[in-house]
Amino acid sequence: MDKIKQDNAASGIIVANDLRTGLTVFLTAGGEWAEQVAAAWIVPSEHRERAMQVAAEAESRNSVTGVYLTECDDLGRPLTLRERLRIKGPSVDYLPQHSVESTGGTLQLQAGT
Amino acid sequence: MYQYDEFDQQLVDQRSDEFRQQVKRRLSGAISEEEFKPVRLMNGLYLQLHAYMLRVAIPYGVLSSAQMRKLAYIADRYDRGYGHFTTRQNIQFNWPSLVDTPDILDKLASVQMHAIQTSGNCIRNITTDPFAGVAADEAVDPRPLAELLRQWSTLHPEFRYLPRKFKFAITGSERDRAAIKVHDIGLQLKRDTNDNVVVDVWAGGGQGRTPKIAQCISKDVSLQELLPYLEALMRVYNQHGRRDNKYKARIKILLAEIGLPALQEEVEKAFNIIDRSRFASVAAELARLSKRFIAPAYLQKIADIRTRVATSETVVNDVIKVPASELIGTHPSSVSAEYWRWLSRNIRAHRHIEHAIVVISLKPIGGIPGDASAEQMRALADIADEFSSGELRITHRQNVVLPHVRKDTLETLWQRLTDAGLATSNVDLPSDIIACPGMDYCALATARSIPVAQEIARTIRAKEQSASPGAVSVNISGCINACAHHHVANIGILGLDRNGVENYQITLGGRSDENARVGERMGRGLLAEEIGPAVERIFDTYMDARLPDEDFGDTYQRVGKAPFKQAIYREENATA
Repeated sequence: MDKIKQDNAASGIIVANDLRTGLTVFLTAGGEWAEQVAAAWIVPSEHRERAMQVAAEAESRNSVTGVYLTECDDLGRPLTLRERLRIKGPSVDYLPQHSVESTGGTLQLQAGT
Repeated sequence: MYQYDEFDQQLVDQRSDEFRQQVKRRLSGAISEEEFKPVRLMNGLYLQLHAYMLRVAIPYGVLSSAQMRKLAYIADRYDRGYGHFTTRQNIQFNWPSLVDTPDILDKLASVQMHAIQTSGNCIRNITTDPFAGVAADEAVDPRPLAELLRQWSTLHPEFRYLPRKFKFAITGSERDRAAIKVHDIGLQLKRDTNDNVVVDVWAGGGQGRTPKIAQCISKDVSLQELLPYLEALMRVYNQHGRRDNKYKARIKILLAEIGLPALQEEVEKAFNIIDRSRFASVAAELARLSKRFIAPAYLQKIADIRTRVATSETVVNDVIKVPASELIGTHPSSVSAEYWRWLSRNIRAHRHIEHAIVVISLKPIGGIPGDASAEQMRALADIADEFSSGELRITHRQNVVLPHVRKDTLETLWQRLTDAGLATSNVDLPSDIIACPGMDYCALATARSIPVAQEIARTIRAKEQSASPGAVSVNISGCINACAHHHVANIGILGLDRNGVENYQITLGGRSDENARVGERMGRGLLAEEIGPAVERIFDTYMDARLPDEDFGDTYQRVGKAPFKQAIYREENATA
């Protein structure tokens, strides 16, 4: 299980990868894993240990891999850009543009905020 | 193109079967993630920021149209409809599932492809000049040797657990388009005074957190002695390379620590005790491999192709270009401006007078550098069949090459590329940016690369089109691992995390050609939104200082760092 630097006062959400698909998944309050961050259990600091225990059991059952807790605010928004990208996906429109010279758009540097 | 023999096919088929069993055992829980991880990495399967990522080898960057169509099929069937071509001439799929990966490997094997050794501490994909076999300035076609090294290094029992990953690059031209001096081993093929092929061996180049330019460890090695010499060099590295610190494990660190004479001496000792009888058939094997590169009919007709360098072609700095006027034979005003721009920028000289090398930019303005949709891959395959004897190349600058285009078909080809959204006329211009996936995809990244690259391209496009500059390389990496080769870019950009904010350092004056050098760091890092305007000011400074026909690298070396640094930090200078 990955370990990251933690501020024990902050809330967190438990993140992992689905073993079969590799997609990012989130532990729900019901102990299931969901692909939608909206379903994630925002774990108060006092429940961290229990949440990680549930996650570790899932990892040992080989349904997920790479479990860790990422710190977030009370609305479930991760505190770092990396974690915001991990949760929301790439900040760029990833299907290659068909038209090349006419493509407009602006720099999207506020991903996940 | 090289055609697999029975043994090649059996090897990739068996490897695919083996991985299917390994995945099955992982899913059943028979093996843990810790046990499985090295196995999946040896088959090119990473676990990245959002999903698994599969890196597929494209040996020395050569693809057939059938292989490109298969990649398109995989992108559609198993991924999200696109793929990303890399600076190692490979392709990465960003969203495959673990359960589908054995099927993907089967599909790859059906077109003589695989993902073996695209990760892990082993010898990785051998890269070479994307113009190999057709470049006007080529002394020796490097592809048969690249294939020999691919076969020698594949599953080589002694070199499967090296101290760190190991990368080879080969060129057969004096103009280095394969960046051999920033690889662990770089090979320069050339001809001696008796017209025999000999090899200069360069070692200890690399990038990452400690960029180094390779040093020549041995000159004029014969082809007969090359393989035992490389085996000796690898053996010395395998024995003496550090395993206690992965940041100091590459051969460049070993070379820096013990020095060139000591490394040469160690290699010589190892070389002298190698059983040469194991390599007795190397010459015959090279000859056999050469025959398995089936050349298009027009090349087969030429008895000695090396004598057929076109006289109408002009050398411009370190890039050989065919003047557009030679290609179309008419005044520019009689053709469209778009076609003229494309001819001027995307065509390179071919060794056969009636043919041209066409570089297809995968750098649409505002698009993702190196990405191609499945639809575009299919279009590229169809175009290769129609115009390039069914063959394509992937470049380390993340573009695609058509190596066999008749000059009298160029306008039709350009129209076809325009229809497919693949006619961007920016090869070797600042918008032809190398970018790694950065923090949008990569678990190691410390900052994003792609949106910054997109913004640079949008910012600079109008100016680069109107200014007629020489070659300018812009490379952006999202972390110190330097996958985008920012250290050896004319304009290098490195994305870092500074207290939770993306911050970008600029280096200037790097180059990866035969005059390779590491760029100089300019000063404090910039915010993402400052990078586009800063690159524009760097470009303006270059254009102001440029002598006729001068590329950025030469201008920078002539005028030095000062005016560029002043341009980058112009506003700070004004308020100081």
